[in-house]
Parts: sequence; C-alpha cells; structure tokens
Amino acid sequence: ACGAPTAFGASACFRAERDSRFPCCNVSCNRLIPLFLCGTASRTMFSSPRAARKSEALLRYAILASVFALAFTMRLFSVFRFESMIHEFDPWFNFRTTKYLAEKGWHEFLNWFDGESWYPLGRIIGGTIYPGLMGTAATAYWVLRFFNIAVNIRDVCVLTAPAFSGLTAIAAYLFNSEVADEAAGVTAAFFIGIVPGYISRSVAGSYDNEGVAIFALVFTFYMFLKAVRTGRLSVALGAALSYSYMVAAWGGYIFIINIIPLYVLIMLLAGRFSYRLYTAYCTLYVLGSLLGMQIPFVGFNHVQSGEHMAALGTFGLLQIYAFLLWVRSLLTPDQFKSFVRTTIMAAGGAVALALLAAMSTGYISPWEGRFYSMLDPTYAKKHIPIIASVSEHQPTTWASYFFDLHILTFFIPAGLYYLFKDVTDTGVFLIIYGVTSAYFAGVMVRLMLVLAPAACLLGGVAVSKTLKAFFGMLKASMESNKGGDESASAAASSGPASATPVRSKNARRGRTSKAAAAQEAAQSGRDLSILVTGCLAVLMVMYAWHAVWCTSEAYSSPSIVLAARGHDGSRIFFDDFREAYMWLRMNTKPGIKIMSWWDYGYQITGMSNRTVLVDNNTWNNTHIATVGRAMASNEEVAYETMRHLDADYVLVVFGGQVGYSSDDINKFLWMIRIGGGVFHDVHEPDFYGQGQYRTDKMATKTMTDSIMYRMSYYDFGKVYSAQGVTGFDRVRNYEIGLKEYELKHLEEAFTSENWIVRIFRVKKPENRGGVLADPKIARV
Amino acid sequence: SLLSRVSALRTLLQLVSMARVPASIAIFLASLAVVTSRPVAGSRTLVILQSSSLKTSHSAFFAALEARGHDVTFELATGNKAALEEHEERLYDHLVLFAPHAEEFGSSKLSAKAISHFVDAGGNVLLAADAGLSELMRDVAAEFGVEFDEDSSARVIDHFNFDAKDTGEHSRIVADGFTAEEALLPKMEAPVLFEGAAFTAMEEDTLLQPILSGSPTAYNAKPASSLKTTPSAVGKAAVLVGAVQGRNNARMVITGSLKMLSNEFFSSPVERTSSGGKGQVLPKSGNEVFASEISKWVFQERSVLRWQNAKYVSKGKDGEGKIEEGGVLRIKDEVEYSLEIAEWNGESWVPFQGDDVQVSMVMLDPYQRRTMKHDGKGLFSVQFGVPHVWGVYSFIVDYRKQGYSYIHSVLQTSVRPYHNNEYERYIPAAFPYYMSAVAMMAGLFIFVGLFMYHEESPKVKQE
Repeated sequence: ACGAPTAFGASACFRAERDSRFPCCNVSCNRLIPLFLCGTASRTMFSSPRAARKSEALLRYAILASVFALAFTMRLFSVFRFESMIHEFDPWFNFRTTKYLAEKGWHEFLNWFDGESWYPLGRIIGGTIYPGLMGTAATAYWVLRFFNIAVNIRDVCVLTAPAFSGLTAIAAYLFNSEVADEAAGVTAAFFIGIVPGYISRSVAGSYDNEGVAIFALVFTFYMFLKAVRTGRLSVALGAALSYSYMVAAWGGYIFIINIIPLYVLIMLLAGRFSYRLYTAYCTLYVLGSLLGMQIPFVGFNHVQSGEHMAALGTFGLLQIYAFLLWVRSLLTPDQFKSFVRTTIMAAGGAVALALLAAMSTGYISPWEGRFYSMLDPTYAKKHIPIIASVSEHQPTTWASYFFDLHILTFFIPAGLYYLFKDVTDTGVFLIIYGVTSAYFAGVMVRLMLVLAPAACLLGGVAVSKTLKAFFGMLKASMESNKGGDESASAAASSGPASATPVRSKNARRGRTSKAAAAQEAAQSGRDLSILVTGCLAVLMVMYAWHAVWCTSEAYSSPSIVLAARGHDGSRIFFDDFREAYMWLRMNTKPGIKIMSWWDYGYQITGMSNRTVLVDNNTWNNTHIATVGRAMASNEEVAYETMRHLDADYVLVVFGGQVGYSSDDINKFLWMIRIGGGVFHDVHEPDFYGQGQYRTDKMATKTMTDSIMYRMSYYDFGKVYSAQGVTGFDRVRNYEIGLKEYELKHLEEAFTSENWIVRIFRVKKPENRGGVLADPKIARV
Repeated sequence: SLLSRVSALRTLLQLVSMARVPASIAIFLASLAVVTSRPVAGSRTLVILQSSSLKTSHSAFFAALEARGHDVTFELATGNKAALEEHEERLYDHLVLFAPHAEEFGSSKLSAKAISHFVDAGGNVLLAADAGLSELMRDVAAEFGVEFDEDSSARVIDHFNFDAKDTGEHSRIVADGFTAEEALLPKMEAPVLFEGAAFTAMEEDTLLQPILSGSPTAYNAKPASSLKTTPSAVGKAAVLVGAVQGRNNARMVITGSLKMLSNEFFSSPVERTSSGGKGQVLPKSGNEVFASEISKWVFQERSVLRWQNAKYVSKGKDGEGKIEEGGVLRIKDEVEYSLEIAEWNGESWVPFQGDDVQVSMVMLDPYQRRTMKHDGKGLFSVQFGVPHVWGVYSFIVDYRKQGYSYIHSVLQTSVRPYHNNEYERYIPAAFPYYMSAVAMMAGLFIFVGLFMYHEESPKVKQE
C-alpha cells in the first residue's frame, strides 16, 4: 500500500533531477517529496502553524500505518509462492511447543519433560527455552479464539513474525523521534520495514525468536532513551518490562544488558552524568534483572554468569559516583580529594577482591564459548566445532553487507557523522549501538540481524538530516524568489508550468547587481539541493527495489520445500522432506527412535511425531558426537552404537541425484570433526583421499566403509545419471568411488522421489549366532 | 413362534456342544495317554530318516515321542514330498533329523537354509549326527554355530572310558560329563553310551550350551591312526551333545551320535572299561532317560518360561503417598517393578521359582540393578529408588539362564524432575531472606510515610 506514494514521489524527483534547469519543476517536486519525508516541508503548504502541525501528524500516522502494512505484506511472499507453512529448522520446534502451550496451558508447558527428543536423555522444555515467542503466539491464538475468530494455530505462528516486523517499524519511529526528530523516525520506519537483513529472519513462516525479539530490542532501547531524556520513573519501569519481554524472547538480550552499561560508562567518562540517567539505569537494571530471573532458562544468570557482570559493575559504579557527588557537595575540595584517595581506593580494592574470589570459587561462571567467539572470531573454529559448523555462525562477507543492508551500508557513517556533529544524550546511545553491532555483525552472519535495525536508525538520521538541510536551502531559495517577485512565485506555484521560466527571466532582468548575485547563489544552492535530493530519492527507490527482489528471490524459501527453475523458466518444487516425514508418520510405530544428524531433529519431531536422538538444540555435545561417530564408522561399529542407542531407523539427506548441495555428505566433515573431538578413534585425515575430501575414486577405504557413504550412495551406482554415467554425483560433480556393495545390518526402508531423503531400517540382531546379551545390560 | 424359538435355541446349544465335545474328548484322551508331559505349543513332528530301517532300530525313541502326544510324520531323506513351510507358515512344530549321511534331500523344499528358516520361524530341531557326516548335515550344523571335524572318519575315542562291548577302536565310550544345569538336563543316575563324532562351537559363538561333554581323556580323531596334530576336539571342549537356543526361543539339540538314541543302546548294560582294567557294571545304560530328557527339552516340553504383565507403580516419596501405575516417574521417588513369570512343567503352567531374576533400570547405562523376590505364585517384584537423573529409562529384564527360554522384557518410561510447584515451599534455611524481604517492605512503607508527611521545620530553613 505504501509502495504507491513512494514510487510516485521518487519518479517525480527523478524527473526533477533530469530537468533541473526548469525551475517549474521545483514546485511540483516540493509538494511531492514531503510525502515520504513528511515532517519537514509539508509545513509550507499550510498557513496556520497549528493546522500544519495537526495535518503533519495525520500524514505521519498515515505513513506509519502504510509502513506497517508494507512491512507485513512484503513478508507474505513466502505464503504466495509456497503456502502457509512453518519454515526451516528451529521454527518447527517453536511451532511444536506453541501447539503444546496452546493446548495444555502454562503450567504444563513450564514443566514439560519431553521424552521425544534427545532420546534417551530427554529434555525439559520449560526450563531450556525462551518462552516469549510461544507465549506471544499462544496468547494471540487464545485472544482470537475468545472472540470466536476460528484461526488455525499454524496460521497464527506463520503470521507472528510479519506482524511484529510492523511493530518494529513503529518502534524504530519512536526511537529515532527520541534520538533525532519525527522525520528521522519516519525515514527509519520506512527503512526498517523492508530492510533485507531483517526480512531474512522474519518472513511469514519463519517462526523464530528473532521475529519478536528485534521488536523488543528496539522498543527497549526506545523506552530506555526516553527514560534517560525525561528521567521519569514510570518510563524506566516500562523499559524494564520491555527488557523482561526481550529476556523471555531471545538469548540476544545479553546484547542489551551489555550495551546499556557500556553507554552509561561512556556517559560517565564523557562527563554527561545526570540524575535522569541514574534513575533510568538503576530502575532498568534492578527491575529488569528481577523480572528476567523469572524466566527459568535464565534464572540466576543475572547475578552469577560472567556475561552479566558488566551490568552489575556499572550499577555499583553509578552508586559510587552518585555517592561521591553527594559527598563532594558536603566537603571542601581538599577534604574531598583525600577522602577519595583513602576510602574509595579501599572500597574498589575490596570489590575487586570479592569479584576475584567469586570467579575462582565458581560462584560466578566464566564466560561461555559463544561469548568468547563473539569477542574473538577465530575462537570457535579452534575450540568448538559444533558452533563453527553452523553456517550462520561464519564471519560475514562484504557481499552480504551489501545484500542485507544495501544503501544503508553507506548511510551508517553519514548517520554517525550527524550524531557526532550534534551530540545529545540519546544520540550517544545510537552511536554506541551502531558501532558495536557493526563489529558483532562482522563476527557472525547471524548477527547481521542486530546490525540491521542500527543501520536503519542511523540511515534514517542520515537521510532525514540531509534532506532537511537541502530542503531548507531549497525553501530558502524559493522564499528569496518569493520576496523578489511575488507574482512570479505565485504564478510558479499555481499557474501553468510552461509560463514560469519566461516570466521569472523577465523579472530577473530588472534586479540590481547585488540582488542578482544573491539570486545567483540561491540558484546554485537550489540546483545542488535538487541534485542531492534527487540522488537520494533514486537511491531509496533502488533500495526498495532491492529489498523486494531479495525478499522475493532469496529470503522467502521455506527450505523444507525446495524450488528450482526449469529450462523453460517454470518453477519446479522438490517436496521430498515433507514426503519422507509423512512416510515416517504414517508407516512407523509411535515411539520408534530415529537417528539422523542433528539438523533434522526438530523437523522429525515436528512433522513425523517420532523420537529423535539429537536435534537442533545442541546442548549435549557428547551425544551428538556419538551420532557423528556412528555415521563415520563402518557398519559393525555403527551397529553396536545404534543398538546401544535403540535406534530403529536412520535418516540421511542425499543431494547427489538432483544436486541439492546442503546434504549430509557435505556436512559429513563436521560429523567427523565433532565425533573426533570426543572419540579418539575417529581421525579426520582418514577421510582425505590424496589430501582432499572426496567420495570419488580417490576416496579412502574409511570413507567408503562409513555408513554415511554406504547409506547415501546405496544403489546409486545402479542409476544412470548425467552423461550416461552410473553413479554420477551432481553436487560434487564426479562419479562416485564405490558402487557395488550390500548392507548387512541396515536395510533401505524408504527413499523419497528425488532421493533427497533416504531412510534405513536398523535390522534386529540375528536369531542365531553372535553375542547373546542385550548390550545395555552387558555393560557394567 | 415360541416353539420355533426354543428349537432354534436347542440347535444352537447342540452346535456349541458338538463343537466342544471333540476338543474336550481330545484333551481328555491326550491327558490319559500323556503321563509325563507334552509340548507347550504344537505337536506336529516331522522325522526325516536316513533309511526306513531306523524306524525299527530307534522304535523306542519314536514310541516315547508318540506317547507324549507328538503327532509324528515319517519321511525319508530321499523322499520328495517333505516340506517344512508353506506360504511362510510352518507345517510342523518340530523336526527330527536322523539322516547323518544324506548327501542331499529328495525334496526341493528341504535344504540347510530351509531348516534354519524353520528355526527362525519358531520351529525346534533335533539333529543326530554320526561319524562320516555328510556335507549337507555339516551345513545344517553350521547354521547353528556347530563345527565338526574336517576329517569325516574322525570319531570320539576314549582309551580310559570305553564300554566292554567295544570292538577295539575304543569309540563306544561311556560318557558322564553331564551339564550341571538342571533346566537343561535333570540329574542323571547312570552314564550314557555314546558312539559317534564330537563337535565344537564355532568361533565367537556363545549360543551353544553343552549337555554332554567328553571326559578329560576323550578326543576326536580317526581310529587306529597315529596322531600328528592336535585333534580338533579334546576333553571337555569336545561336545558330544549340545543345545542351541535362538533369540526367538526356538530350540535345537545336536547329538554327535545317532546310535545313542537306538533301542540297542537304550537297553544295553554299561561296563566302564579302561586300558588299565574293568570298572563297575550297570545293568542298564542311562540312554533312554537321557534321550527322553533332551527330547523333552528340545520340543518345549520343559524349562519353558513365559512372562506377562510387566508393570511399574510409582509409590511416591519414601514409598508413601499417591500410588500411580504407569505414566511418568519423578526423580527420587520410590518405584515398584513387577513381572509375572510362569514355567511349563509339561502339563500346565506353574509359578516360576527362580531366585535370580534381575531387573535393570537403564538409560544408556544401568542406573539400578536389583534382584527380584517372588511370592511363590510367580509374581516377581522389587521396590527401589528412582535414579536422581531425569531422562527416558527402560526397565529391562534380560533373563538368560541356561536351559530356560529367554525372558527379554523392555518397559520404557520417563523420569521427570520436580515440577516448579513440587519443591518445599518454606525451608528453615531461607528464613533470613524472608525476614529481609519483610523488613525491606516495612522499611519502605515507613520511609514513604515519613517522606510524604514530613515537613521541613522553618528553623532549618532560617539557618
């Protein structure tokens, strides 16, 4: 809905830039551009300031409403292209838990012990998740049901993220209204509504924590800044509530609880301490921590974990600082100096000692691996393969900056420039937010999501300030024109466009030389401002264009249904995953256990309703390593492990038939690494034939003996694939090494249409022969 | 209409009684005929003979089978009609293979593979071997993890325990190396006569349970030849009669001697002789009793166990509180596991009296392993504490005692941690905290009151 005015204004500006020698266009431009800059120039159109303010507010709210609608509808591409379904991996878990919550209520949900995942260890769902997302969706569901609106829980889940994206746009507007002004707010709202970096995580069906958490993030910042600006306790309380929602929704709350203390610290160092800041921070910290502790998964982290200590330290520092200010007001400067030297040093020493003791006794836990890997990008690769194995934990490339942020990449420095030029309490916060998030986004791709709002907010400041400056020039030149020649100006604004240049030329002839010089300056300023505003308009059109294209082409794929373009440009769908999961659901006994790599755990429990050994909640590295080792070992060894783990079926994903590149053979190296990290009988070099990781003729015996190879390529050697060759792997583009073999302890149970999912049954032990006892009993 | 109804009722009753009568008569007759025992399920027995003369030479054995209710069908190994299964259904429950020298079966439906499939489908097999065993019979034996000497003329020789009637090869031996497991073989009064080949278990095969082993001086070799290498089976490792029980509880008995089941050996006296001199004389060998016992075992007439009704009951904390059957258990609670086991004694199911049945509570590893007590009526139970670690557990009874059929029962359950409202609410150690919270609230109340209603005195203002 908002696309129309945007495109309209932009095309007009584009015309203006091209024909800038014709002053006639200025006026029309002047009227149209404000449609998306709203607050600045629209005032000129109305005589009474009060009426102008009113109508400006109306326009602003109209624009915000259309940005909301735009943000929502942009994310529906995935529904139109595919269908209303849950995407990817984690959303399946969230969906499953939401269903449980909606069905059984909070008490059951909080105490839910799930025996279907992580067999046989199980998982206490209530204590190991951030329940904010499920709570939000379930509440929406209950409310709608209460009003007799018969919705499907799945549709509520699918549409949660788009709806919250609209709210994020509103929150961004409020934030920038705090930092700069309403114009910057509206611009930021427009940016954030369609920024690809955020859309990638919030399309319809992408039912993940981030979908609601980004709203909570921006809104918490807004409330906090408002509290800092006004010093009102109630606003600070609002910030604490918003923060607790963020804690309930996403582990990224760590970012908030570290960046706000950083901000406070910098304000102290910069000498910008105020009691407003004191009130805002202390309220947020104390209440926010107390509320955050109510989430079982977070629990005592706020007082015990290393990641939260910066906030605690800053809280203490603020008290000391405030205390010192009070003491200073009572003492003479000399007394004060000696007082500081003696007491404060001693107190500081005591605090440092206490911290050291707490750290060494383990009361305060050391930093987690994930936290370290944020500070040192190479840490995960060296020490924690399970973190490094996830593609979204890889360092960000430059291309993805441009892809996810587009022009905002270049507006970040501009925004920082404007904020530095005119430093305010709230502006400092946005500077810190922008800089830190830019750093973290460089560490892992996933955190691009945190940078995207910052970039939008900074971009909003940059664009609106620039436009404001140049529109100011434009307006000034117009007014100087108006002052010189009322009739010409009036004609320019109301009369036919073609008549204007002639008349103004005639009018200009009669001026004095001094006035002519001023007129000349105004003319050049006007040309420059037309050029700049025109360029910006074009950039923004391109941004909108890019965002739509990204959403449509790259970010709307549900990844459980794959789409490809045929030779004639038509869309081909590969629905193998759902086919296979449905097969499991319909053809196996309830309660059977399925072994697969952890990526598919959530989908199997979600879609097949069967028990899995490991899933995407990678809390137990050893268990995952056991599965990785089984996949990497030969059939005999693997069979022992599978019997020990009670696995009834093994599921592998194989892309060699259709060229689906994120299959298990490509992930296999990580299974070997993770398995080898725990079990020392798995050696990575054993899988490298002639120094390379390959499955063709160069493959080692360990490789071709592994059940991963055996299952993936089972019977594949009998298939004529490309170029009349049998067993030609289309992902890796070569003929596979070992083609003819039989399986002993496994048998093929199901292979999907395009061979993407293959399921193997683990055979029962032979009736005669072998060792008799149950391996679990025989173990001592 | 009333009359017609009555007559209809009468015909119905007649139909019912007619259907019942033959069955009850059969049961009655069977119980009369069967003095000692009968198989627990099915008595269709197929006997495959080397030659029809075996029918007379081993008539006592077959007569005993028929007396115990077996429905015996005789076939020659060369006959072309015999089949064990049809359309994946077993035609027989038991198979007796008395054809040690048969090179091939006449029937195309019989083979070593068919026999092993028959066993995997639940059939029982008694296989009698002999010296000079054919390739076919070696293959059948190999399916059950049993290996005979490569030299087909090898037989068991014992220079210290041979029978007086021995022809000079010292291969008609007197054997008494019986297994101690009474479930497999009750205590024998007299030694048995044995003439044939001994065998060994294949490598890594643990399913073979010896019933009769050779004496320390017995060995398996070609008679009247000088030994150049160690014989394939020596002493106790030379199994004369062995039992194999599949994971599906199908049973097989392999005896190295066909003759030991013959009428001649049944009635023959035993006179243990050694190269040094003669021993005591027993008027009758133990062969008949032995043959009867091993055939009872192999045809599921004895030592058959069945289990049912495995369940657990949560007894709450300290074994008190609510008693809940099944469902999710809670850590640190008490749980009672129970299982009923019955034994087939040949006539009826009687309570099993074993005192070494254990149950394990397993999550990857056993967390609890307890020996169950029984009440004499076949109910085995034990109460113990649920482990302090939550997860998905299995109660596993994996009872594999020699001679008995296996019991493998798995019962899965979840063990959950405490719910958030199941912890103790007021604990003494926390009273300082409660106090501080109350004190804080009171302090705040007083402070607010003072702050709001306190006016600074003008005196201070003047200063």
